[in-house]
Amino acid sequence: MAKEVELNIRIDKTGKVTVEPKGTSGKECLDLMKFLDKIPGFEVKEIKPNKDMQDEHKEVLNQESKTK
Amino acid sequence: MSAYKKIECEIVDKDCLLEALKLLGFEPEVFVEPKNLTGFRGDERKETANIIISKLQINKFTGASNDIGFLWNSIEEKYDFICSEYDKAKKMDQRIIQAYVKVAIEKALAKNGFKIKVNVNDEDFLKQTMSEMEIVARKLI
Repeated sequence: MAKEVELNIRIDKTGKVTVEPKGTSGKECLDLMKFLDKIPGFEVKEIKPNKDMQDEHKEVLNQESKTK
Repeated sequence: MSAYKKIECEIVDKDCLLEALKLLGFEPEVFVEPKNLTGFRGDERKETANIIISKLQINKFTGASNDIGFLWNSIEEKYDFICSEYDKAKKMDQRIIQAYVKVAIEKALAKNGFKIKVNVNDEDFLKQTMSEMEIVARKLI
């Protein structure tokens, strides 16, 4: 089933951009924002996971340790 | 919500640049062969550019500007932004970059199937005081 995702894009006074997605997480979220890296002249300076993503990462690590 | 990206940009796209300058109310001149810029006293500067905004147009934001120019750098495939210290102090470089980023992002969003829900009011670009701008875009996946 299709779901709606949202990007909140803030352009500060110096032209620096911060993009924050809503309604998506993990790899799906990173894939969704990939097009921003491909805009000519744009350079991604930082990708920062928020709490949701850190929790998801921990969950993956936990699953890996259980299988060992 | 999962992650956020911080992005900086260089001016590489002529169409986006011209559209951004239009947002700021400028009517730049475009030259195939670079032309000399003019200083605030009307003096010819040694710097040259392919796209020039005349100082008279910039004065509405500043007061005593020099021409601002964009010289195509074929080695780095980007425009060199030529802006005097006076105009930098008046944040003209930031104004132009902010407008350029807005135009480039709008185009990329449309190309990638996003619909813009909340957009920047274009008239905000003409205000004397600059502010942070926000775009909210949606997509069904």
